Amino acid sequence: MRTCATWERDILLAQTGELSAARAAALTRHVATCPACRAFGVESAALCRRVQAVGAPPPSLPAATWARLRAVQPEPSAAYWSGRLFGPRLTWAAAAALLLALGLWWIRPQPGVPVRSADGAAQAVLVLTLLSADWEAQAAELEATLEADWQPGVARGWEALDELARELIGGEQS
Amino acid sequence: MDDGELLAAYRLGDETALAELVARCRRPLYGFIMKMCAYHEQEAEDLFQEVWLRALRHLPRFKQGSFLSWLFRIAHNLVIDQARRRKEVLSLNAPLGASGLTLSDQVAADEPAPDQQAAARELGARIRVAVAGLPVNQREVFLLRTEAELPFKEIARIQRTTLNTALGRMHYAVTRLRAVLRTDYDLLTGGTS
Repeated sequence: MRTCATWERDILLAQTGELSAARAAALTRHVATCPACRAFGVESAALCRRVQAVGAPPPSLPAATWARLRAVQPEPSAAYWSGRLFGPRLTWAAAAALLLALGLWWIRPQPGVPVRSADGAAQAVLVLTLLSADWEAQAAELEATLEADWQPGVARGWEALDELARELIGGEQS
Repeated sequence: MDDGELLAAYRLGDETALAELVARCRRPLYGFIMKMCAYHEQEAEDLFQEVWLRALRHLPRFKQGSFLSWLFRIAHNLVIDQARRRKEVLSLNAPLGASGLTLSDQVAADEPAPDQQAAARELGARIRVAVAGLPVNQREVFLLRTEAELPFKEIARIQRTTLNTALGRMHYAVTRLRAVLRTDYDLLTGGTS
């Protein structure tokens, strides 16, 4: 059961047009049967109108105030400072350098953890893909590139080591 | 021209656009400040000026929405700061405005002194005193509603509170004013009750 105090809050909301249609309909039904809420609605609306009329300002702005307002220089916006200090190209270059530095910091070797090229490559892929706007497409492309290049690269490395070992062994033997 | 168009014109250097904006916002903004600082005219004029100075200085920060609401947000910060600085709790014996009458003179007295009877009888004076006697938060909600005609959702944003709290403050304010002005209902409602 709602009290008159809660209906009165709805009356205040209705006066600003912020009451939903369903609650407004319920309020109308309640006010029709409640003289106290009806009086609250009439008097609160009259009070608001009357208060507005009390204490009207002097019609004109004092000359000194007007002079100060005319002399105001708006503060420069953030875009103004960024453009003035860096220019658009330098701003982009600085942003790219910052992102690169962050990426390198992220994939830096950790103390006590052996460095594995595969980890670094995987992290680099992650960094690049996260930084990229169309990261899904970029990630797929990079993964495909790694698949294609990584295994042959490792195989070539082993072959080179084998060859070096053979040369060394051969040299000692000769 | 709406406020946005006037602002755009002012940003391009049109001072008449600024004059039009100031004139348009003067009644609600000045009325709000005046009543928030208990009808001290000089203080109200100073705060009104300060609101505009801050608004114009920080104009690039205003992006969209109601310019009047933005002005009231600045005014809210200023009047609250002012109240904190002075730590002023309105005293029943503090003189109110130019009349020199006090709250205790005008509100509580069923039998005002003869030299104050005329002022006390005047409805406007009684409303001034009654509004000035509201707690700051309630007074602010009441004035943002009556002077600026802002919706409660916007008032809650300015006060950084919930809609229900803002609505509750308004309800307390209206209830309190109705009690104080109970003898003036006929005048308030145009003699219909």
